[in-house]
Amino acid sequence: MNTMKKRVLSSVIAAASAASMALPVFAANMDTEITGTYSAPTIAVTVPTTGTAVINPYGLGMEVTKSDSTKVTVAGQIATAPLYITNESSMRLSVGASVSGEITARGEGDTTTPLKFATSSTQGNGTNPDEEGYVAPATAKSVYVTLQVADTTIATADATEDKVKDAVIDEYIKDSAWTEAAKKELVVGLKDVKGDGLATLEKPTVGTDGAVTAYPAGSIVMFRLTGDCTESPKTAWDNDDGFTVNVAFTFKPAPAASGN
Amino acid sequence: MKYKKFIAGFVSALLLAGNLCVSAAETQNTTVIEAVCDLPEIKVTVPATGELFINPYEMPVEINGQTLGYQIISTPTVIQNESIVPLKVSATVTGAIKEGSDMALSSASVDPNSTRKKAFIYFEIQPTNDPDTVVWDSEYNMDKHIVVRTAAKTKKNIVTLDAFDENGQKKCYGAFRLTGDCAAVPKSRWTEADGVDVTIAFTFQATSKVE
Repeated sequence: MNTMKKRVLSSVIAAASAASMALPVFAANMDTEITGTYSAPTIAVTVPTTGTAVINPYGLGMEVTKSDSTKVTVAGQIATAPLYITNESSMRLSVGASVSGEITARGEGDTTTPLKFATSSTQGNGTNPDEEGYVAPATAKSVYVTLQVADTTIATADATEDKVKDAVIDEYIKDSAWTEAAKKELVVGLKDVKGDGLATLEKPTVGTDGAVTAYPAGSIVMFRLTGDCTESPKTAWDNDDGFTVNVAFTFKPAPAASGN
Repeated sequence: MKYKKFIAGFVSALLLAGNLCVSAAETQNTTVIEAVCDLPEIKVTVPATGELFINPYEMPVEINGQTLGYQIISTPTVIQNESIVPLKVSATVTGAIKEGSDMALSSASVDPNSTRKKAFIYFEIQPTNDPDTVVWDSEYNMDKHIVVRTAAKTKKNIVTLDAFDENGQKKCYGAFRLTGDCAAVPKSRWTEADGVDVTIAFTFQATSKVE
Protein backbone atom coordinates (compact mmCIF):
# COMPACT_ATOMS: atom_id res chain seq x y z
CA MET A 1 0.00 0.00 0.00
CA ASN A 2 2.73 2.36 0.97
CA THR A 3 4.70 1.53 -2.14
CA MET A 4 1.61 2.13 -4.26
CA LYS A 5 1.02 5.53 -2.67
CA LYS A 6 4.60 6.51 -3.27
CA ARG A 7 4.36 5.50 -6.93
CA VAL A 8 1.19 7.52 -7.46
CA LEU A 9 2.64 10.52 -5.73
CA SER A 10 5.83 10.42 -7.74
CA SER A 11 3.83 10.12 -10.97
CA VAL A 12 1.77 13.22 -10.07
CA ILE A 13 4.91 15.17 -9.23
CA ALA A 14 6.53 14.07 -12.46
CA ALA A 15 3.48 15.05 -14.48
CA ALA A 16 3.29 18.36 -12.71
CA SER A 17 6.93 19.13 -13.30
CA ALA A 18 6.64 18.02 -16.93
CA ALA A 19 3.70 20.38 -17.38
CA SER A 20 5.55 23.31 -15.89
CA MET A 21 8.56 22.56 -18.02
CA ALA A 22 6.40 22.30 -21.12
CA LEU A 23 5.14 25.93 -21.03
CA PRO A 24 8.12 27.71 -22.60
CA VAL A 25 8.35 25.00 -25.27
CA PHE A 26 4.66 25.51 -26.39
CA ALA A 27 5.01 29.32 -26.46
CA ALA A 28 7.66 29.19 -29.05
CA ASN A 29 5.41 27.46 -31.60
CA MET A 30 1.97 28.99 -30.81
CA ASP A 31 -0.45 29.89 -33.69
CA THR A 32 -3.30 32.37 -33.15
CA GLU A 33 -6.40 31.75 -35.10
CA ILE A 34 -8.53 34.84 -35.65
CA THR A 35 -12.03 34.19 -36.85
CA GLY A 36 -13.45 37.23 -38.71
CA THR A 37 -17.20 37.48 -38.94
CA TYR A 38 -18.99 40.19 -40.91
CA SER A 39 -21.62 42.12 -39.12
CA ALA A 40 -23.83 43.90 -41.65
CA PRO A 41 -24.53 47.47 -40.63
CA THR A 42 -28.18 48.24 -40.23
CA ILE A 43 -29.36 51.19 -42.25
CA ALA A 44 -32.40 52.80 -40.78
CA VAL A 45 -33.97 55.85 -42.36
CA THR A 46 -37.40 57.39 -42.28
CA VAL A 47 -38.65 58.17 -45.76
CA PRO A 48 -42.17 59.34 -46.56
CA THR A 49 -44.03 56.92 -48.80
CA THR A 50 -46.18 59.60 -50.42
CA GLY A 51 -46.03 63.30 -51.13
CA THR A 52 -48.14 65.97 -52.78
CA ALA A 53 -47.29 68.69 -55.23
CA VAL A 54 -49.19 71.22 -57.30
CA ILE A 55 -48.91 72.56 -60.80
CA ASN A 56 -49.60 76.20 -60.31
CA PRO A 57 -49.32 78.03 -63.62
CA TYR A 58 -49.69 81.43 -61.95
CA GLY A 59 -47.03 80.77 -59.34
CA LEU A 60 -49.27 81.07 -56.34
CA GLY A 61 -47.43 78.28 -54.58
CA MET A 62 -48.80 76.01 -51.91
CA GLU A 63 -49.86 76.87 -48.40
CA VAL A 64 -48.62 74.64 -45.59
CA THR A 65 -49.54 74.77 -41.93
CA LYS A 66 -47.11 74.45 -39.03
CA SER A 67 -47.97 72.80 -35.74
CA ASP A 68 -48.84 76.18 -34.19
CA SER A 69 -51.36 76.76 -37.04
CA THR A 70 -49.29 79.48 -38.71
CA LYS A 71 -49.34 79.20 -42.49
CA VAL A 72 -46.45 79.61 -44.86
CA THR A 73 -46.30 79.41 -48.63
CA VAL A 74 -44.07 77.13 -50.63
CA ALA A 75 -43.48 79.20 -53.75
CA GLY A 76 -43.21 78.18 -57.37
CA GLN A 77 -45.15 76.98 -60.38
CA ILE A 78 -44.29 73.46 -59.28
CA ALA A 79 -44.58 73.40 -55.51
CA THR A 80 -44.20 70.43 -53.20
CA ALA A 81 -45.46 70.05 -49.66
CA PRO A 82 -42.38 69.71 -47.42
CA LEU A 83 -40.74 66.27 -47.63
CA TYR A 84 -37.73 65.10 -45.66
CA ILE A 85 -35.70 62.06 -44.71
CA THR A 86 -34.21 61.43 -41.29
CA ASN A 87 -31.30 59.18 -40.51
CA GLU A 88 -31.94 56.69 -37.72
CA SER A 89 -28.74 54.73 -38.30
CA SER A 90 -25.47 54.78 -36.40
CA MET A 91 -23.54 55.81 -39.50
CA ARG A 92 -23.26 58.54 -42.11
CA LEU A 93 -25.22 57.77 -45.25
CA SER A 94 -24.87 58.84 -48.83
CA VAL A 95 -28.21 59.46 -50.53
CA GLY A 96 -28.85 58.56 -54.15
CA ALA A 97 -32.10 58.51 -56.07
CA SER A 98 -33.74 57.20 -59.17
CA VAL A 99 -36.70 59.16 -60.47
CA SER A 100 -39.34 58.69 -63.14
CA GLY A 101 -42.61 60.40 -63.94
CA GLU A 102 -45.96 59.53 -65.38
CA ILE A 103 -48.61 61.85 -66.81
CA THR A 104 -52.01 61.45 -65.18
CA ALA A 105 -54.37 59.83 -67.65
CA ARG A 106 -57.36 61.91 -68.62
CA GLY A 107 -60.86 60.54 -68.40
CA GLU A 108 -62.31 58.21 -70.95
CA GLY A 109 -63.45 60.08 -74.04
CA ASP A 110 -61.56 63.21 -72.99
CA THR A 111 -59.69 64.34 -76.07
CA THR A 112 -58.00 67.31 -74.41
CA THR A 113 -54.30 67.45 -75.17
CA PRO A 114 -52.50 66.07 -72.11
CA LEU A 115 -49.52 67.83 -70.61
CA LYS A 116 -45.95 66.78 -71.37
CA PHE A 117 -42.71 66.64 -69.44
CA ALA A 118 -40.27 69.21 -70.80
CA THR A 119 -36.55 68.47 -70.75
CA SER A 120 -35.60 72.08 -70.06
CA SER A 121 -37.26 75.15 -68.64
CA THR A 122 -40.52 76.14 -70.32
CA GLN A 123 -39.73 79.80 -69.74
CA GLY A 124 -37.29 80.08 -72.60
CA ASN A 125 -34.16 82.18 -72.47
CA GLY A 126 -33.75 85.87 -73.22
CA THR A 127 -36.23 88.34 -74.64
CA ASN A 128 -34.68 89.27 -77.96
CA PRO A 129 -35.07 86.61 -80.67
CA ASP A 130 -32.13 88.14 -82.51
CA GLU A 131 -29.73 87.58 -79.62
CA GLU A 132 -27.53 84.50 -79.40
CA GLY A 133 -28.86 81.85 -77.08
CA TYR A 134 -32.42 83.06 -77.31
CA VAL A 135 -34.97 80.31 -76.71
CA ALA A 136 -38.65 81.10 -77.11
CA PRO A 137 -40.92 80.19 -74.18
CA ALA A 138 -42.89 76.98 -74.61
CA THR A 139 -46.45 77.29 -75.86
CA ALA A 140 -47.47 73.66 -75.40
CA LYS A 141 -48.95 72.53 -72.09
CA SER A 142 -45.77 71.30 -70.48
CA VAL A 143 -44.05 71.03 -67.12
CA TYR A 144 -40.35 71.09 -66.39
CA VAL A 145 -39.93 69.11 -63.20
CA THR A 146 -36.75 68.35 -61.28
CA LEU A 147 -36.02 66.42 -58.11
CA GLN A 148 -33.79 68.26 -55.66
CA VAL A 149 -32.35 66.67 -52.52
CA ALA A 150 -30.80 69.13 -50.10
CA ASP A 151 -28.40 68.75 -47.20
CA THR A 152 -29.57 70.82 -44.29
CA THR A 153 -28.22 72.34 -41.12
CA ILE A 154 -31.49 71.70 -39.36
CA ALA A 155 -30.81 70.62 -35.79
CA THR A 156 -33.56 69.72 -33.41
CA ALA A 157 -32.98 68.87 -29.78
CA ASP A 158 -36.47 67.46 -29.80
CA ALA A 159 -36.97 64.52 -32.17
CA THR A 160 -40.77 64.56 -32.05
CA GLU A 161 -42.40 64.67 -35.47
CA ASP A 162 -44.05 68.08 -35.08
CA LYS A 163 -40.81 69.76 -34.00
CA VAL A 164 -38.88 68.21 -36.84
CA LYS A 165 -41.58 69.08 -39.37
CA ASP A 166 -41.75 72.71 -38.23
CA ALA A 167 -37.99 73.05 -38.45
CA VAL A 168 -38.05 71.56 -41.94
CA ILE A 169 -40.83 73.91 -43.10
CA ASP A 170 -38.84 76.96 -41.98
CA GLU A 171 -35.87 75.78 -44.02
CA TYR A 172 -37.87 74.44 -46.93
CA ILE A 173 -39.28 77.82 -47.96
CA LYS A 174 -35.85 79.47 -48.21
CA ASP A 175 -34.51 79.65 -51.77
CA SER A 176 -30.97 79.61 -50.42
CA ALA A 177 -31.54 76.17 -48.88
CA TRP A 178 -31.72 74.66 -52.37
CA THR A 179 -28.79 76.34 -54.09
CA GLU A 180 -26.45 73.35 -53.82
CA ALA A 181 -29.19 70.81 -54.45
CA ALA A 182 -30.04 72.54 -57.72
CA LYS A 183 -26.56 71.73 -59.02
CA LYS A 184 -27.26 68.00 -58.71
CA GLU A 185 -30.96 67.98 -59.57
CA LEU A 186 -32.46 65.16 -61.59
CA VAL A 187 -34.80 66.10 -64.44
CA VAL A 188 -38.04 64.14 -64.30
CA GLY A 189 -39.18 62.44 -67.48
CA LEU A 190 -40.97 59.27 -68.46
CA LYS A 191 -37.72 57.30 -68.23
CA ASP A 192 -35.72 56.51 -65.11
CA VAL A 193 -32.96 58.96 -64.26
CA LYS A 194 -30.43 58.09 -61.55
CA GLY A 195 -28.11 60.13 -59.43
CA ASP A 196 -25.66 59.25 -56.65
CA GLY A 197 -24.28 61.36 -53.88
CA LEU A 198 -27.14 63.82 -53.98
CA ALA A 199 -26.89 64.46 -50.24
CA THR A 200 -25.35 63.08 -47.07
CA LEU A 201 -27.14 62.13 -43.89
CA GLU A 202 -25.17 62.51 -40.67
CA LYS A 203 -25.76 60.28 -37.65
CA PRO A 204 -28.54 61.21 -35.24
CA THR A 205 -28.11 61.40 -31.48
CA VAL A 206 -29.18 58.15 -29.87
CA GLY A 207 -30.11 57.57 -26.22
CA THR A 208 -29.01 54.68 -24.03
CA ASP A 209 -32.10 52.74 -25.08
CA GLY A 210 -31.09 53.06 -28.73
CA ALA A 211 -33.88 55.48 -29.61
CA VAL A 212 -33.12 58.71 -31.49
CA THR A 213 -33.24 61.59 -29.06
CA ALA A 214 -32.19 64.45 -31.32
CA TYR A 215 -31.28 65.25 -34.89
CA PRO A 216 -28.04 67.18 -35.07
CA ALA A 217 -27.14 69.28 -38.08
CA GLY A 218 -26.93 67.18 -41.21
CA SER A 219 -29.03 64.27 -40.05
CA ILE A 220 -32.09 65.48 -41.98
CA VAL A 221 -32.23 66.02 -45.73
CA MET A 222 -35.13 67.67 -47.55
CA PHE A 223 -36.33 66.89 -51.00
CA ARG A 224 -38.79 68.41 -53.41
CA LEU A 225 -40.10 68.52 -56.91
CA THR A 226 -39.64 71.93 -58.39
CA GLY A 227 -39.51 73.51 -61.82
CA ASP A 228 -41.81 75.53 -64.02
CA CYS A 229 -44.62 75.25 -66.53
CA THR A 230 -46.16 77.11 -69.39
CA GLU A 231 -48.29 79.85 -67.94
CA SER A 232 -50.77 80.20 -70.77
CA PRO A 233 -50.45 77.23 -73.09
CA LYS A 234 -52.41 76.93 -76.32
CA THR A 235 -54.49 74.24 -74.66
CA ALA A 236 -55.53 75.77 -71.35
CA TRP A 237 -54.75 74.11 -68.04
CA ASP A 238 -57.58 72.41 -66.27
CA ASN A 239 -58.01 70.58 -63.00
CA ASP A 240 -57.60 67.18 -64.66
CA ASP A 241 -53.99 67.90 -65.52
CA GLY A 242 -51.46 66.20 -63.29
CA PHE A 243 -48.54 63.83 -63.00
CA THR A 244 -47.05 61.30 -60.62
CA VAL A 245 -43.38 60.94 -59.80
CA ASN A 246 -41.77 57.84 -58.30
CA VAL A 247 -38.62 58.50 -56.35
CA ALA A 248 -36.57 55.47 -55.30
CA PHE A 249 -33.98 56.55 -52.75
CA THR A 250 -30.80 54.56 -52.20
CA PHE A 251 -28.84 54.80 -48.97
CA LYS A 252 -25.34 53.49 -48.43
CA PRO A 253 -22.70 54.09 -45.80
CA ALA A 254 -20.65 57.17 -46.45
CA PRO A 255 -17.06 57.72 -45.38
CA ALA A 256 -16.64 59.76 -42.24
CA ALA A 257 -16.44 63.46 -42.86
CA SER A 258 -12.89 64.81 -42.87
CA GLY A 259 -11.87 65.84 -39.40
CA ASN A 260 -13.99 63.13 -37.76
CA MET B 1 6.00 31.66 -43.82
CA LYS B 2 3.03 31.02 -41.57
CA TYR B 3 3.00 34.72 -40.74
CA LYS B 4 2.80 35.57 -44.48
CA LYS B 5 -0.09 33.18 -44.93
CA PHE B 6 -1.88 34.72 -42.00
CA ILE B 7 -1.45 38.27 -43.45
CA ALA B 8 -2.71 37.14 -46.87
CA GLY B 9 -5.71 35.43 -45.31
CA PHE B 10 -6.53 38.45 -43.20
CA VAL B 11 -6.35 40.82 -46.20
CA SER B 12 -8.63 38.51 -48.23
CA ALA B 13 -11.08 38.47 -45.38
CA LEU B 14 -11.07 42.28 -45.24
CA LEU B 15 -11.64 42.60 -48.98
CA LEU B 16 -14.48 40.14 -48.83
CA ALA B 17 -15.97 41.96 -45.90
CA GLY B 18 -15.69 45.28 -47.80
CA ASN B 19 -17.62 44.01 -50.81
CA LEU B 20 -20.25 42.49 -48.68
CA CYS B 21 -20.51 45.72 -46.79
CA VAL B 22 -21.41 47.73 -49.91
CA SER B 23 -23.97 45.35 -51.25
CA ALA B 24 -25.50 44.36 -47.97
CA ALA B 25 -25.56 47.85 -46.57
CA GLU B 26 -27.46 49.53 -49.38
CA THR B 27 -31.13 50.04 -48.85
CA GLN B 28 -33.89 51.50 -50.96
CA ASN B 29 -37.05 53.39 -50.07
CA THR B 30 -39.63 54.79 -52.45
CA THR B 31 -41.68 57.95 -52.33
CA VAL B 32 -44.57 58.54 -54.72
CA ILE B 33 -45.38 62.19 -55.26
CA GLU B 34 -48.65 63.08 -56.89
CA ALA B 35 -49.00 66.49 -58.51
CA VAL B 36 -52.36 68.00 -59.40
CA CYS B 37 -53.17 71.18 -61.23
CA ASP B 38 -54.32 73.85 -58.84
CA LEU B 39 -56.13 76.62 -60.71
CA PRO B 40 -57.37 79.68 -58.87
CA GLU B 41 -60.98 80.74 -59.20
CA ILE B 42 -61.42 83.85 -61.32
CA LYS B 43 -63.78 86.25 -59.60
CA VAL B 44 -64.62 89.62 -61.13
CA THR B 45 -67.38 92.10 -60.49
CA VAL B 46 -68.61 93.66 -63.72
CA PRO B 47 -71.44 96.21 -63.83
CA ALA B 48 -74.38 95.23 -65.98
CA THR B 49 -75.25 98.70 -67.22
CA GLY B 50 -74.00 102.26 -67.52
CA GLU B 51 -75.16 105.51 -69.01
CA LEU B 52 -73.80 107.52 -71.92
CA PHE B 53 -74.59 111.16 -72.59
CA ILE B 54 -74.08 112.92 -75.91
CA ASN B 55 -73.60 116.52 -74.89
CA PRO B 56 -72.88 118.47 -78.10
CA TYR B 57 -72.99 121.90 -76.47
CA GLU B 58 -70.75 120.87 -73.57
CA MET B 59 -73.39 121.76 -71.03
CA PRO B 60 -72.48 121.03 -67.41
CA VAL B 61 -73.70 117.61 -66.47
CA GLU B 62 -73.65 116.47 -62.85
CA ILE B 63 -72.76 112.85 -62.29
CA ASN B 64 -72.21 111.45 -58.80
CA GLY B 65 -71.72 114.96 -57.44
CA GLN B 66 -69.18 115.86 -60.06
CA THR B 67 -69.89 118.42 -62.79
CA LEU B 68 -68.56 117.48 -66.22
CA GLY B 69 -68.68 119.38 -69.48
CA TYR B 70 -67.42 116.99 -72.15
CA GLN B 71 -69.29 116.25 -75.35
CA ILE B 72 -69.31 112.53 -74.62
CA ILE B 73 -69.82 111.57 -71.00
CA SER B 74 -70.45 108.23 -69.33
CA THR B 75 -71.28 107.39 -65.74
CA PRO B 76 -68.22 106.23 -63.76
CA THR B 77 -68.02 102.51 -64.09
CA VAL B 78 -65.61 100.00 -62.65
CA ILE B 79 -64.78 96.33 -62.75
CA GLN B 80 -63.11 94.75 -59.75
CA ASN B 81 -60.75 91.80 -59.64
CA GLU B 82 -61.65 89.74 -56.60
CA SER B 83 -59.35 86.86 -57.52
CA ILE B 84 -56.14 85.92 -55.78
CA VAL B 85 -54.24 86.25 -59.03
CA PRO B 86 -53.69 89.21 -61.36
CA LEU B 87 -55.90 89.20 -64.44
CA LYS B 88 -55.21 90.23 -68.00
CA VAL B 89 -58.25 92.00 -69.33
CA SER B 90 -59.34 91.96 -72.96
CA ALA B 91 -62.29 93.98 -74.19
CA THR B 92 -64.57 93.86 -77.23
CA VAL B 93 -66.60 96.99 -77.91
CA THR B 94 -69.57 97.17 -80.24
CA GLY B 95 -71.79 100.16 -80.94
CA ALA B 96 -75.37 100.21 -82.21
CA ILE B 97 -77.06 103.40 -83.34
CA LYS B 98 -80.49 103.77 -81.81
CA GLU B 99 -83.36 103.07 -84.10
CA GLY B 100 -84.71 106.30 -85.61
CA SER B 101 -81.43 108.19 -85.22
CA ASP B 102 -79.57 109.56 -88.22
CA MET B 103 -76.30 110.01 -86.37
CA ALA B 104 -73.13 108.15 -87.35
CA LEU B 105 -70.09 106.85 -85.49
CA SER B 106 -66.75 108.23 -86.56
CA SER B 107 -63.45 106.41 -86.54
CA ALA B 108 -61.54 109.61 -85.77
CA SER B 109 -61.97 112.77 -83.77
CA VAL B 110 -64.79 114.96 -85.13
CA ASP B 111 -64.35 118.62 -85.90
CA PRO B 112 -66.90 120.42 -83.69
CA ASN B 113 -67.82 122.53 -86.70
CA SER B 114 -68.60 119.50 -88.82
CA THR B 115 -71.97 119.66 -90.48
CA ARG B 116 -72.46 115.90 -90.33
CA LYS B 117 -74.07 114.45 -87.27
CA LYS B 118 -71.17 112.30 -86.16
CA ALA B 119 -69.76 111.22 -82.82
CA PHE B 120 -66.33 109.90 -82.07
CA ILE B 121 -66.63 107.67 -79.05
CA TYR B 122 -63.89 105.58 -77.57
CA PHE B 123 -63.49 103.22 -74.65
CA GLU B 124 -60.81 103.81 -72.05
CA ILE B 125 -59.91 101.67 -69.03
CA GLN B 126 -57.41 102.45 -66.27
CA PRO B 127 -56.18 100.14 -63.51
CA THR B 128 -56.50 101.84 -60.15
CA ASN B 129 -56.51 101.13 -56.44
CA ASP B 130 -59.14 103.81 -55.90
CA PRO B 131 -62.00 104.13 -58.40
CA ASP B 132 -62.79 107.63 -57.10
CA THR B 133 -59.43 109.08 -58.08
CA VAL B 134 -58.77 107.90 -61.60
CA VAL B 135 -56.27 109.65 -63.80
CA TRP B 136 -57.66 109.54 -67.33
CA ASP B 137 -55.67 110.01 -70.51
CA SER B 138 -55.94 113.52 -71.87
CA GLU B 139 -56.46 112.42 -75.46
CA TYR B 140 -57.19 109.45 -77.66
CA ASN B 141 -54.40 106.89 -77.98
CA MET B 142 -54.92 104.15 -80.53
CA ASP B 143 -52.64 101.77 -78.58
CA LYS B 144 -54.66 102.04 -75.40
CA HIS B 145 -58.21 102.85 -76.41
CA ILE B 146 -60.94 101.21 -78.47
CA VAL B 147 -63.01 103.25 -80.87
CA VAL B 148 -66.72 102.45 -80.78
CA ARG B 149 -67.91 101.27 -84.18
CA THR B 150 -70.89 99.26 -85.32
CA ALA B 151 -68.50 96.40 -86.03
CA ALA B 152 -66.97 94.76 -82.96
CA LYS B 153 -63.45 95.95 -82.07
CA THR B 154 -61.27 93.96 -79.72
CA LYS B 155 -58.13 94.80 -77.85
CA LYS B 156 -56.40 91.91 -76.16
CA ASN B 157 -54.72 92.41 -72.80
CA ILE B 158 -55.69 96.05 -72.74
CA VAL B 159 -54.82 96.24 -69.03
CA THR B 160 -53.73 93.89 -66.25
CA LEU B 161 -55.44 94.16 -62.89
CA ASP B 162 -53.65 93.30 -59.69
CA ALA B 163 -54.91 90.50 -57.51
CA PHE B 164 -57.52 91.57 -54.96
CA ASP B 165 -56.05 93.53 -52.13
CA GLU B 166 -58.17 94.17 -49.08
CA ASN B 167 -55.80 96.93 -48.00
CA GLY B 168 -56.54 98.97 -51.10
CA GLN B 169 -52.89 99.28 -52.07
CA LYS B 170 -52.99 97.36 -55.32
CA LYS B 171 -54.64 98.29 -58.59
CA CYS B 172 -57.30 95.61 -58.61
CA TYR B 173 -59.95 97.94 -60.07
CA GLY B 174 -60.41 98.71 -63.75
CA ALA B 175 -62.19 102.04 -64.05
CA PHE B 176 -63.56 102.58 -67.52
CA ARG B 177 -65.41 105.21 -69.44
CA LEU B 178 -66.65 106.18 -72.87
CA THR B 179 -65.50 109.57 -74.00
CA GLY B 180 -64.79 111.43 -77.22
CA ASP B 181 -66.29 114.29 -79.20
CA CYS B 182 -68.95 115.12 -81.75
CA ALA B 183 -70.18 117.72 -84.18
CA ALA B 184 -71.66 120.55 -82.14
CA VAL B 185 -74.08 121.97 -84.65
CA PRO B 186 -74.68 119.53 -87.48
CA LYS B 187 -77.09 120.30 -90.29
CA SER B 188 -79.47 117.72 -88.94
CA ARG B 189 -79.71 118.87 -85.32
CA TRP B 190 -79.21 116.54 -82.38
CA THR B 191 -82.49 115.34 -80.96
CA GLU B 192 -83.58 113.02 -78.18
CA ALA B 193 -83.96 110.32 -80.77
CA ASP B 194 -80.21 110.21 -81.18
CA GLY B 195 -78.21 107.78 -79.18
CA VAL B 196 -75.96 104.78 -79.25
CA ASP B 197 -75.98 101.53 -77.31
CA VAL B 198 -72.50 100.32 -76.56
CA THR B 199 -71.80 96.76 -75.52
CA ILE B 200 -68.53 96.03 -73.80
CA ALA B 201 -67.60 92.36 -73.44
CA PHE B 202 -64.72 91.65 -71.07
CA THR B 203 -62.51 88.57 -71.12
CA PHE B 204 -60.24 87.75 -68.21
CA GLN B 205 -57.19 85.58 -68.10
CA ALA B 206 -55.21 84.79 -64.98
CA THR B 207 -51.55 85.66 -65.03
CA SER B 208 -48.66 85.43 -62.63
CA LYS B 209 -47.48 88.98 -63.03
CA VAL B 210 -48.71 92.50 -63.65
CA GLU B 211 -47.04 93.92 -66.73
